[in-house]
Amino acid sequence: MSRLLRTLGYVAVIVGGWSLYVRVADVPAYLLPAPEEVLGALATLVGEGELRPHLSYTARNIVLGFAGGSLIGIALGWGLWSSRLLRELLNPYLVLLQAAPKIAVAPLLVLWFGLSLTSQYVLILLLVFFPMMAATMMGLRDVPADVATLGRLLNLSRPRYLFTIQIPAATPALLAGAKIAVIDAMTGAFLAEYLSAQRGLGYLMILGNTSNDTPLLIAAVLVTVLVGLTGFGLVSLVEKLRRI
Amino acid sequence: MGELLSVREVGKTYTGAKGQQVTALADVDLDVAEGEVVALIGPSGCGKSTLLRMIAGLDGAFDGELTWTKPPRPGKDIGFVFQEPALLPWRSVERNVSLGLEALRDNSSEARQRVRDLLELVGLADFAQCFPKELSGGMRQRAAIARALAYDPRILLMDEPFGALDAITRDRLHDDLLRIWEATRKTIILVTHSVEEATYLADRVAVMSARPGRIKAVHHVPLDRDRDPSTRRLPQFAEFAGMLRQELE
Repeated sequence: MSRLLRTLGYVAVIVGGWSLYVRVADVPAYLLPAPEEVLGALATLVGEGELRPHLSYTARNIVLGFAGGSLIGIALGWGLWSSRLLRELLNPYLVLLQAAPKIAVAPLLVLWFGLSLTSQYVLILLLVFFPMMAATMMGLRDVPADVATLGRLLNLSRPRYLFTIQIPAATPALLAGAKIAVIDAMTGAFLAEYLSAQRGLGYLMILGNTSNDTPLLIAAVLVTVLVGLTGFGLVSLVEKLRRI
Repeated sequence: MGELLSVREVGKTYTGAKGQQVTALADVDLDVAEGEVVALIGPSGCGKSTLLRMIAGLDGAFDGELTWTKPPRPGKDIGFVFQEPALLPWRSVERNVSLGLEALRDNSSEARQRVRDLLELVGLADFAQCFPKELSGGMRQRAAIARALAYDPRILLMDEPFGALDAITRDRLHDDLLRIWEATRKTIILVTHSVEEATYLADRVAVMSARPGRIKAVHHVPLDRDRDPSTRRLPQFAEFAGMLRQELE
């Protein structure tokens, strides 16, 4: 209850400050519309049924991209952790790939894969796999030496060792990685839509921007923030449930 | 008492970080009989833990011979207790203890009964559903001992199992181990650096020296098998512990 009140307090302070500033400084609406105008734009979006297809399109891309990128990242992390050769072979490429700014890579992807879903997914996967890979490697290293020895003494098979010891031991690190990865998945999805899509929340922002509909732009940003909070909240919830 | 294990002229040499040859163990001879408690005692770096790991089958790179009357079956015959409890924090005490049985796919009612009996034996019956973080250090180590005994191994190997505990808890666990031995008659090899611990718990004590690790002498403990806290006050106890201490100097 007090948490809800606190959250409402935060929102009230932001909205109040925003509203006050717009009025006192007499900011023109095309620069910063008043909160009620943005709310109006949002209501129109919802009322005309326009928000749902865009929202579900983006949400689907985020979920699929996050799941796919996590699988690739976990598999790669496990491979790199278990094989020294693979680690030494792939490490330079992976670091290079991670160091490359994804915004710069994005137009290239559009060039290679066209204005299609493929280029969007490739971008999301590129962003998601790295934190998950790093988290997997870190998590697997968290298995204490004695526990690893115990696995050998009990003659645990490789899959059994993976499922009874390695994965549970790595779960806290994996969840920490997932928190970063879920945000990255969203960044990737919006970035991809910004560049190439005809649908999605990123597209709504572009639409708002190019048609000088600033309330629409801000409304789209607000929905985006909500989507981000939801994704982050879901991972945190899983984390909390696990601790009970 | 039948012979269980004989160690003959076992040695181990490895290449150190700077490329030099390091002799960790040299000419180690030791016999272990069934049902016997043997303590390996020595200064740190004498290779006592290395020897224990060899016996456990964790380290196959050594010279000499380790002969078992019946070779240990993997995952079935070696019970091992580490200095740290090494419990899995996401499993309840009961599920930690039954880990070895799970690995053997032993789901029988006897196995489950065995886990319950062991928890009873180590005084954790009321804590079966607790998680390791809810237990004290001594209770965790008791759970680790129960885990090592759950699949009824032929031998129990203990690597400084009480080294990380405070003195009062340690004394209590000594008595627990005596009770466990009384109930199970397991063969136990106990690595320790405490002369009192070796005297109180063991039938025989092998004193090791460092660099290279060798067995200097093997002594029979001149005490009845029936021991309790009053044993610690016997003159023979102090005398034997004093002799061990002198030998370690």
